[in-house]
Amino acid sequence: MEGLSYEEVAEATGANLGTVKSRLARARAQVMRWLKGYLE
Amino acid sequence: MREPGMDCRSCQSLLSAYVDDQLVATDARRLHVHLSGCSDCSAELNLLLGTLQLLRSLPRPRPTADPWEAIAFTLRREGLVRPWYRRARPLGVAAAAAVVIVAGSYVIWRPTSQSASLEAYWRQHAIFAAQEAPALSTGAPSLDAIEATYQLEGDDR
Repeated sequence: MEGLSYEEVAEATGANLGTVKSRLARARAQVMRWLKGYLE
Repeated sequence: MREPGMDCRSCQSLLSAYVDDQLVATDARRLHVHLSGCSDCSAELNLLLGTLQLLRSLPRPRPTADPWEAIAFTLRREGLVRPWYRRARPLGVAAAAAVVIVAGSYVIWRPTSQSASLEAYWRQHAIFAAQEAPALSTGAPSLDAIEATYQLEGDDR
């Protein structure tokens, strides 16, 4: 993510590592749904 | 020891961390095992990889020096925030209602008895008469003089 590791994102946002992982997964899943039509 | 299997829901929740190589070894192994036997999750993984590739191919506009103006403009255009005068409308209505209530209350409950009005009239008249009367005009009318005149005038009523 923009060249930052998950640990660096966690430190920058003040969230714990698990939260960073799950937020990123949810955000990517959302973007995937938006762009699905362009990928198939 | 055989590791427990992984269901599709768990697998798909880990795909994001998997493509970033952020899974611990145990989870990565379980994911591999699941992916090798699940076409749905393999398709999901391919979709995620395709999405990330598409995102990487998009241009990355640099933010302006003061990005807030552009953000605020977009928020207003999309109707996500209302301009101040629209936000203030309910407040204005409330303020107008408050003024009407206060003014209405004053009109309804103010002292309007006839006796009070007449008393004020006679008092004014007494002061005026005291100022004008030659016998009392040697200086500023004293309170006694005013009251005396007032009494006289009052008796004439």
